[in-house]
Amino acid sequence: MAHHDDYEQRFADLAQLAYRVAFRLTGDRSTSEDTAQETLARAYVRWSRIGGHAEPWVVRVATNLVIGRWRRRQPVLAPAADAPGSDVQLDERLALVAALRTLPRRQREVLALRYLGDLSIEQTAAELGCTESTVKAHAARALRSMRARLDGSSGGDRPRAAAPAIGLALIDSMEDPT
Amino acid sequence: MTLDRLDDPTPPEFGGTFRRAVAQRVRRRRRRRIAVGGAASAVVLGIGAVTTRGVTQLNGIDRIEVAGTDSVGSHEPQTMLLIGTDGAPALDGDRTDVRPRADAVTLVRFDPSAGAVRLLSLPRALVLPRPGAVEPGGTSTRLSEVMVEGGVDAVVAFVEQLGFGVDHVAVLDMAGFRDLVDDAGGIDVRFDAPTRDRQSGLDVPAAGCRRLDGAQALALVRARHLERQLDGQWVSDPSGGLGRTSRQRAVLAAALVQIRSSAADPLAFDRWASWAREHLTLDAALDTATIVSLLRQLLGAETLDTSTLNLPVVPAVRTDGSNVLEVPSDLGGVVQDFSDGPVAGTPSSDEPVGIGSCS
Repeated sequence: MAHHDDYEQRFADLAQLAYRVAFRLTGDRSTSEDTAQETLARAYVRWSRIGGHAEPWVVRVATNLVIGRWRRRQPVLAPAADAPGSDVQLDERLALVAALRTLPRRQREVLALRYLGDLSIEQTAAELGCTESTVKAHAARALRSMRARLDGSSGGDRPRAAAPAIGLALIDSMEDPT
Repeated sequence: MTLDRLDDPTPPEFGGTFRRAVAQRVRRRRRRRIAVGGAASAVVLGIGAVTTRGVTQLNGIDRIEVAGTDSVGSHEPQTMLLIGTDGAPALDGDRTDVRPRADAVTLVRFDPSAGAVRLLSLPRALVLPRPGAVEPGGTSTRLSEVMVEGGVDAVVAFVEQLGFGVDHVAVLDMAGFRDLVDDAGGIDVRFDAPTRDRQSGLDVPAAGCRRLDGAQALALVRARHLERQLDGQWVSDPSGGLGRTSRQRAVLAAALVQIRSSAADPLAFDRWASWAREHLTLDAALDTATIVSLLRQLLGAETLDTSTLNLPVVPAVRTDGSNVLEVPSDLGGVVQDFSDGPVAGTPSSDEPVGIGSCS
């Protein structure tokens, strides 16, 4: 099966990508490895259909797997206890997960592809079948509602609300320098 | 513009152990695809001609605004909540006094990247907190009542409490289901014994494979007092509300198989479009391109997964003595499996008692 040669060549890069997406959301190694394994298995089965856009596909599937676990109420956020600054990171992750659970679909996808997968605006636009300016607009809107949510909320998220200041700093670092 | 400060400073190697774990998951997925694909994948799609006249008919389908529904793109994975009502559709806000009851509620997942359509039926006796109830520990309600209480919005909110996201809603009256089955020439169902329901009107005098017309298919779907003749005695079906839910799913699956086989008829699309205009109500956010795309998927999906997904429920008795079904706090991955396809673990099979498929 010739097309799976291509899968073999890209295996390590795609596994790293899936792992990175999951780790940015969970901070947990075993969950992230598990997510990467499942993502790569699904990619193999569907390779003929996704080979042309494997990176964005992997980012979306890995993100959905993590959020799906969250919906199933499995504990997914487990900051390494001895890691410096782990509380700050936990709050940042909470803000990301909350955004991925509540934003409208397009904004969610832009958030995942751009910020979790580090894909370029161009790649994101190609994946979503829209223009680059639409991607920018969705990203700006997503960050704006994340900001509004943090400004206006003092709680409510499971298992606890992200500290607003930390969430806002996170959003600042996601702004495009345009 | 990067979140790399959230990265693992020392990520693992994706070496031998990791690769073996991936390979094992691939093998498990393959086995399942073969198991559930089977008969359905043999049906080749040809949804007649998508005619201008048919599309015009589609544009005339009744629409309602449903909170939370949104267009996600015609070729994106999406979930439709299919509500079978026991009366004519009277869904507009001003006529709340005559809201029909949700008699059969099924989630349909369209997953084009997997070439799959998945069905998950929810039992009428399912009890969850009443949507919109504000007070903590507030009141609960049954799925069968929630539409009368709060309309389609409330049914969506009710179902979403389980963790399912609902993108679109279709409401179908029971007469519409009957006509659809008749249009497809009936459906084939195997009965293990003579079966009847004197209230719904089901009457199957002999065991074996039977072709049911629309009225009998509907009587089977609605049967709540099913009896089976065993050793000359009529015996009540012991499976209750759960049995009814799995029968509904089996009948819906049989209907889909039958409709798929009649789909090559070049006039089929026109007929369905005019049928839909009469019997179907859709959420206002569903555009025509998506309707056509979903119809194609329904008729052409290589995997029509109708039997592996079950909501884990626990029978309970309420203080008023009525029998209900509750869900455990951990749904055991059914939401994820419904969304992305069953992954690993034991395939759960929930075949209805006493009936089955003929193929």
